[in-house]
Amino acid sequence: MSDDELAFSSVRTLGRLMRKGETSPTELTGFFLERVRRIGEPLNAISAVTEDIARREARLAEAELSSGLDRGPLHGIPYGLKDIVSAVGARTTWGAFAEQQFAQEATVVRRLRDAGAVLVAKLATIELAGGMGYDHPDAAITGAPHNPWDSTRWTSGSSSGPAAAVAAGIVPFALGSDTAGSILLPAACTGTAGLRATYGRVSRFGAMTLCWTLDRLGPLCRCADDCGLVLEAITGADPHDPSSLAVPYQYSGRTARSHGFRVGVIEGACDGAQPAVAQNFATSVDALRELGTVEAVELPDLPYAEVADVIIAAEAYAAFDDFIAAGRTRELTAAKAHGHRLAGAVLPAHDYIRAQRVRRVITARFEELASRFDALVAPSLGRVASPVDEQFEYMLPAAFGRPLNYAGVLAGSPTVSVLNGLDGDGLPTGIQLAGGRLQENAILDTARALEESLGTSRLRPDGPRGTAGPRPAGEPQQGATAGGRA
Amino acid sequence: MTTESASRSPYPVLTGASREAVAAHLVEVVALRHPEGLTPDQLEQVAEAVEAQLRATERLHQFRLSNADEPGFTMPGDLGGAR
Repeated sequence: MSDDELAFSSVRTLGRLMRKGETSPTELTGFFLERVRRIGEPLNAISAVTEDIARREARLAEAELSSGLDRGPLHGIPYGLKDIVSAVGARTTWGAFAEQQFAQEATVVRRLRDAGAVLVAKLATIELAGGMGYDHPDAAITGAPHNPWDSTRWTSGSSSGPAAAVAAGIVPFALGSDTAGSILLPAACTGTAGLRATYGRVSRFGAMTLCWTLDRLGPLCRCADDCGLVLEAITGADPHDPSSLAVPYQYSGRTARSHGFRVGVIEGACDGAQPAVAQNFATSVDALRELGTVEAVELPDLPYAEVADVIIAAEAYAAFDDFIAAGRTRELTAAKAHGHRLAGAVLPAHDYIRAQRVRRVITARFEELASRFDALVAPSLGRVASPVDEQFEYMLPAAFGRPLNYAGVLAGSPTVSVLNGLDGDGLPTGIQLAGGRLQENAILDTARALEESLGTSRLRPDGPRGTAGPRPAGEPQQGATAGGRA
Repeated sequence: MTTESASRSPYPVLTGASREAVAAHLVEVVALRHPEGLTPDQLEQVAEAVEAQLRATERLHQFRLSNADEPGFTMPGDLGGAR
């Protein structure tokens, strides 16, 4: 197997290679550490390389596997962590505070270590997970994150480092966070699979809080299947996080469904979308029609954006109230962050509570709709990745996939974004599959089947050797690479 | 999209000079809460954010709710042995 193929192998494939003796945890760790430095750092995807931790964990994983102790699919697999999640022995900068470090590790880190995974890097994040507001990609102490498909484009945020790292084959999987799309949108812009699981599935303990009732940690991976494997390792009740669920989650050890899916296509989801996004979405819907039934559905006309905006305004201010009140937002890189969140000081409490009351209505109506299907689908974003050196906020009106995103955000239900093709310039487009509460396996199985049908798992950014050129929009490129520009 | 909100909410709507006065005073309050002083750029961002908040909350005021509609969070009923 070539280095390229190894770098872009799924977690499941790497696990098979290790158990066949074709590689080992220490070999894989050394391999990915080299890529972290050579490829990840120029992309501005890396906050810190955790080499000491990685080599120690890799040696332990290797000894365990050799002695017959097999911790499961993630045993010996390197990964990266969005730098809002604390790990002992490494800085946790939140994208803003270069020397910040915590003495206690996050629950997800402990669970990944218990699963035998190997932490190779802390990954770049938009400062404070974008929570103070930003409108330019360079809103991080690590600089603007470059998209591996085209370095003149950015990754979207705030899980910019995790998305770039997985897309570039720097780590087999990463953990990101999502408050209102910060896993889904970078996944869409980088052609990776990003899962925002049901609120409460994954403990938030040890991760920076932006919004208590919206924040979720979740995996970014090469494919939907890997998302299921990672989620299985990190779920579970946690006494440190009162919102965590005691409901068990099983992904591996069951037979995934491959057909017979009931899919609801959100009407109007492509309104205003770039032509390639709409074309690739149409191709995806055709593929889903071959895999089951497809029905057009209307998302209830509810004030999703307003509810989300008010909740975020109140909770983000509260989460950083002493920082904001002390005038310290001026320390942040993004100019917009200097004043944007200050207005939260004059948002009446009763309006925040009203937003949460409307949210309960949204949750009930969304669950009522989602429960009729395995997945509700829409483009993850109405456009491909925007230029890395341009203000991006004005691009957002093209992102008409957001109503489904916001519905899932507010309902606390699971959504996965997967690659569904490239545009004429070789840039990835994404499709989001949203499900009912706790129905991660339904959306993941649907996504897996779609990936298989579209052949998208073979698409990847250009390597330094150069490859065949991009295919027209709507036609997944068959073969090793996608022809993205360096 | 299906129109969900049914009958009009009785929540009064602020318009015209009253609304402008509220917005201006809210920006002033934010500025007063920062004795270190806000730059012109910050004040502009605050004004934009206040306006956005007013628009969002006005939309939510028009979404009819009843006294029985609970928020998305509540106090847990089981306080672990409390009497």
